[in-house]
Amino acid sequence: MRIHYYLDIDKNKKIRCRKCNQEICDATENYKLHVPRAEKDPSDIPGRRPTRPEMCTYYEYFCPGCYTLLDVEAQPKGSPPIWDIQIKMDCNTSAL
Amino acid sequence: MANKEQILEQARRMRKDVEVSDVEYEILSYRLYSVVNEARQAILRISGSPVVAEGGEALYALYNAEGLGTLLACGLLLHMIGTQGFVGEILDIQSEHPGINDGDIFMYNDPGVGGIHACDQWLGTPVFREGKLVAWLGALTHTAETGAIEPGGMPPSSRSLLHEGYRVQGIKIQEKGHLNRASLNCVLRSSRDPGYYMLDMHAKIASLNVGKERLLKLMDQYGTGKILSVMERNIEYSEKLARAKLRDLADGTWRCTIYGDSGGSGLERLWKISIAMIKEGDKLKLDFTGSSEENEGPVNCMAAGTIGNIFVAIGSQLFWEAPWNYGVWKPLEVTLPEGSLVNAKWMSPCGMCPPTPGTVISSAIGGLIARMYFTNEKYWGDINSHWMGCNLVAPLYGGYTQHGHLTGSVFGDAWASGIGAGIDRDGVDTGAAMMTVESCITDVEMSELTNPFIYPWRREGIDTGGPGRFRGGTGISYAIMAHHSTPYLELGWIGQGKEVSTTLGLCGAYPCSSFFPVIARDTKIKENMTKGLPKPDNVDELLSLSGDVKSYPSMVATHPIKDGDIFAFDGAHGGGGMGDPLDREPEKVLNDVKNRWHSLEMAEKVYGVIIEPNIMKVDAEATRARRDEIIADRKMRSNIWKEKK
Amino acid sequence: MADKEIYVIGVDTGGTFTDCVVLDETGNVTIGKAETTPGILEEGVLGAIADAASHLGLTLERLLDKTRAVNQGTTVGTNILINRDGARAGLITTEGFEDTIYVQRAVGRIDGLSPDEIRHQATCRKPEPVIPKELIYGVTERIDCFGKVAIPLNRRQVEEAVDELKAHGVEAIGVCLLWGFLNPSHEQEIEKIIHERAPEVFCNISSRIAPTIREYGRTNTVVIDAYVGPPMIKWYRNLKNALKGRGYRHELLTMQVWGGVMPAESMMPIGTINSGPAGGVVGSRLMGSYLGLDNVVTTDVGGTSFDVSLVAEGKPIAAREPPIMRYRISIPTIEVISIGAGGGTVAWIDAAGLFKVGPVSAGSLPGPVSYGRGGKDPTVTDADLVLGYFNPDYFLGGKLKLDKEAAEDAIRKLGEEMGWGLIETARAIFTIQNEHMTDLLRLMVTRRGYDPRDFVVFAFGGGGPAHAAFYSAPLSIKSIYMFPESAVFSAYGIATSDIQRIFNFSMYARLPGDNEDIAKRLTSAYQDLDKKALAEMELIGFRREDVMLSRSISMKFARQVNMESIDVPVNDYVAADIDDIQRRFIEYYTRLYGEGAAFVEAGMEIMAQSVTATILSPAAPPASRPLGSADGSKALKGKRNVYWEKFGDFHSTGIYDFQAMMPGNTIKGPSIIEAATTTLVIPPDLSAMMNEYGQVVVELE
Repeated sequence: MRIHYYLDIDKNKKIRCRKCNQEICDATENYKLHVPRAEKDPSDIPGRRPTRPEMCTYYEYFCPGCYTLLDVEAQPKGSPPIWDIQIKMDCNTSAL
Repeated sequence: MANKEQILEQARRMRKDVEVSDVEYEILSYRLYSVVNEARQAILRISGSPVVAEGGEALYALYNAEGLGTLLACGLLLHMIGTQGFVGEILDIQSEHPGINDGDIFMYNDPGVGGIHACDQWLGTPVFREGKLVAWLGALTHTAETGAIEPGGMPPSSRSLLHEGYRVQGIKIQEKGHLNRASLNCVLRSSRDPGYYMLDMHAKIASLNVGKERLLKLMDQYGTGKILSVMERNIEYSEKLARAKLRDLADGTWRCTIYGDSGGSGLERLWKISIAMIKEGDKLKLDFTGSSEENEGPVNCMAAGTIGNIFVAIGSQLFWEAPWNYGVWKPLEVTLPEGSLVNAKWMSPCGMCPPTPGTVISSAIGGLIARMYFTNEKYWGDINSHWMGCNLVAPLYGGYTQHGHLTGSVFGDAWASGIGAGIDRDGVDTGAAMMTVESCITDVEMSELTNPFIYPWRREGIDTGGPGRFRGGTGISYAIMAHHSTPYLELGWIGQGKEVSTTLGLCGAYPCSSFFPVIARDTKIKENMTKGLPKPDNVDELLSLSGDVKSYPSMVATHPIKDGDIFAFDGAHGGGGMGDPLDREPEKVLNDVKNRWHSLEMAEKVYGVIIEPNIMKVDAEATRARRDEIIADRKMRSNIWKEKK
Repeated sequence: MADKEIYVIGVDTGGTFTDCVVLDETGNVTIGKAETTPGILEEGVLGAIADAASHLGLTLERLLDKTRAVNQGTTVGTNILINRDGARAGLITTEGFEDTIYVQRAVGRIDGLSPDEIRHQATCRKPEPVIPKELIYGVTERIDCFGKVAIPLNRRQVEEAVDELKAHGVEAIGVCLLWGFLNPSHEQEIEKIIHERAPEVFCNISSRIAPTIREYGRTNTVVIDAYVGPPMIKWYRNLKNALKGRGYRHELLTMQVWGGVMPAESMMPIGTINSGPAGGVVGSRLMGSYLGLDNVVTTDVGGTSFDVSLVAEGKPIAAREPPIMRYRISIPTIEVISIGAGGGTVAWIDAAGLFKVGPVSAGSLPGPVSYGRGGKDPTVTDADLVLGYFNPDYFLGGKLKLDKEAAEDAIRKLGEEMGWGLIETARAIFTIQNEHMTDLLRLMVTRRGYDPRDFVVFAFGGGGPAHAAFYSAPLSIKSIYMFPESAVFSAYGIATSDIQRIFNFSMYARLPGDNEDIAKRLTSAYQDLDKKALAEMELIGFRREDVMLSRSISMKFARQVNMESIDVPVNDYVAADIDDIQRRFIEYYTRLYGEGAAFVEAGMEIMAQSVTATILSPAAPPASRPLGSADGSKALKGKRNVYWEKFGDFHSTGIYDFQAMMPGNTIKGPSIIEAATTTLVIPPDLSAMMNEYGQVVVELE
């Protein structure tokens, strides 16, 4: 099942990169705790951008295999990862 | 006089036991839809308010006797659920005294009862058959003058609900078919601009008349009970469609947090909205626990306001197939912490509710729905990245127009906001505000005809859409200049997000650019214009003018201004992107640059696409090298996050 | 020495066929048809005229020799927009507003879409503008809302822009400046510079072709006109020469979307887009006037859509900010509204188990299941067939054999999901479709402030006459008309169209005010427009004394955004006339929006004036034959079982041959009249009569 533009949950209930097939973690876990994260200064992105990191900085999350950018959070500096996608595996919807 | 229970019991009896076949239902529900749409069009044609007549900020709804929404005209989504509260209170406190009569029109604009903020003014009328109340029709418009402490209806300096203008509590402005001048005067004499106000009043009254006439005709033709049953079935039908769609999607929890940087003018403060969306079977829970305490200024929603903004996202992004009514709300459960900015206390200021934090709520939920859609291929086409997060920047002004009357008004250009990208398409540039599916901005000429300003420019704002594999829609960038030397003018604006990123991307797209307001005063602009010298054509040119030219915070209270002062609103209004920008085809990036949606700098830094500026062609080899370099840089800069002890 | 010129010809170039109608001086109609010849359209036109000539026993040359007017309607412009193969065109506009046709007031996203489509916010996209941004040049200049110059025009920038556009190889340049309609001096100056520096380039300016407020629609008008202009003009020259080469001596006249024809040299290229349907409405208006019918709803049921327009009080209704191909424009346009309810409209069941018909359509490819072209979803045509209204062996005159069994299978299968039988399902499709059509009819009539009971319905298209009684009766429409020229009615309308052009001006006045002064200014504004209209018509080659002038005025209540228009008399005005105009405007407004809608206390504003110059068509009224016997039994060609709601069952029903009917023949329902291009269904208790013009009229009263 697809859960993200770049991520699937495979038969073995593992989250996997759709581009490079890299296994990331169990479907029950927050993938962001298992992929490399980097801080990006918003002013590196053209356009009008926030200037004070204590109010807003960007956190990038990459696929550990192909280093495709999986998610960008805009949070005050030092914020922990947000668990944005948490699929419940044992349910009866037609999607599964 | 009958009491509430008797009234409702009579109505229930009128619709009881009337069979409606599937074919009849299909025909009559379509017909009712056509009636409410026609009535709403009447408001738009008659209204004097550009945000209504052209921006489409008008709701038209048909409620059952109890006040549950059975049908909403295509258009403004914000108020479907909230306005039910108005009907509820009328039934509660006016049924016996003074009584609810045929030809009465009630008025409300209190955000604590069912509205969103004081600008949103509702008129409702009961529909009677055989002397019995059987349904309600409601018309609501955004009325940009509420007699608040600042002109334009949404005072950035408000610190209390009492600062936000008159609040009407269900008085009858029409009784048994006759205007009640005395109650009308309560409103008219509280407003800076009664003339403009009356025009919108006429528009709503006319639309209620048109709708009522058509509805009664349908009841004549098909029988009252049948039409009432169709209305009830509308709710069931929408609920059924909504639940069916929910069952199609995976269960899970999706979370989103978005920050704002202003609680009102002079109140620069970081706040956040946190939402967990939990889907189980055919139910959807929205839990706002973790959202900030309410703001001291007007950046708050009362519960009805939050619910309205949830409905915007749910109606337009999730349950667009179903007729918009109370039925689509039934699978939902909402948790709003008391005293937070999504459930502000009684008398707290909330004038900014729809633009902010309202659009943050809709934008966050829109992004959560998009994430959920990935779980079923059937709905991939419906995926839209975040958009409209606090993007509703709007200048407010008061004073004398070039035609000599005193007014208070607001500019609605922000409705041309970039839409979120999908997984097979870029977001629509200068597209729409989520809350109004028929979003439309005025022609510059119509705006200049009404307001004492001219626009130095209005264009698609470069680098405003979120960069990604699919680019978010570009937002509008514009400026206004006081032009006609009228006796007095004051101006301020509402906005959000100069120091944060309110519109996020999805799945690897970077956030949209931030709001960047600029005021240019004491420049030689007017003098230069008469000489035929080029005027500033964008924010960078404006910033290069000599004079008092600088950027300001997200929200500024109205203050006196002079002829020739220029106010520019740039950076805002972009839509969220989708996916890693490095995955975007170089030729598409070239096209973005050619069309001024992105700069050369964005192409190189974020997309890793090298364009030779003289011939406007992609340098394929340099692009490959640049992209490799970006990937290498990612590897170097990143590591797995560990909680710091 | 030429023969007496007795013929008037109308040609309608469609996508597949080119239709031709030839009228003689007694109103007899001869029809010609030829396949449309893409690329060399004039061949199709000549072919269609030649076909008609052959029916008259004439050669093409002989017919043209005896012809006093050739009018044509064309889809050239429409096709250019569809295929995106117009001229390379540029735009010069006010600096700062280069993106106007990209921003599209945001509403471009939904313009031209139905409420159902609009609700699906994620999928609405804007149509791509016809001019790329790199060919849009902003120049320094500015005019304000009073028409005052705020920034003088920077000529040097204009010259540079023109030179660069030339270097880009543009064939056309449009010019649209903010407030250019109010003060055209800058636009005119730019036009002069273009003519000087690029004399070969097609150029138009907004103050000439669309002099009304609202820059988005005005810019679109200029831009689309520039885009379709050069190829369109080339096509006209070709056709004109081709006709001239075959002996035609007069002006070639071209249908315009506001409902008149104009000579090739002064027609507006953008005005040809959608002019075919306008031709149908114009024809309906004229036919109505012969029949003494002032109020007509024209209805056309095609393969994918149901098109409706209105002739009220003897005049076609104009659209407000009409879209063409989803681009909002600002030239006067006859309103034709479409919904997805044609023969190919598909029946389906939604996620909540509700039975739906449309708006999705199978079109003509794959088309209805019964066409046997691969269509799998049951359509309205399939239901018509199953219920016996259509004859499987004589559909479109037998050109297409319908597979009834396949239609039955598909409908039965869909019905099973609902627990319905074959007939119940077919009835549901038929009924729901008819009721949706009724909704559109009702909306069209009532929102313009009229009562459907005062109207008759003209039924066109393959499916129109089959459904007309069902979609008209619920509104208490008076009667339904079916025409022998039904299949070529657009061409008929084009042939009989008046020469017409509309001239606009924007004079502003506040009411109440100094009535005497306003009367004076208004008189002079209209006199100027009259003069301009007469001069222009004379320039084109018409005689002043043949030109009829009429006037309308656009007004609104003070502070309002939208305007409405009413007619005003053609004379000089005095103070009392201004009161009269106000009174009539309030009356009109109240009729449109109901009691209490007019905000009289606010005062009113006069916004714009227009003068319509008309030269009546030389076409003769339709030929009539005396009414004969009521007995139509000679036209009876057989019987078949047809489903009638009244009987709740199939019933043996008489089938009549339209061609065999004579004026005066009256046929009682239930019955069916089959023509080569359509089928008229007459339900029980109604009857149809052929009138003296060979038209079949079903009285519903």
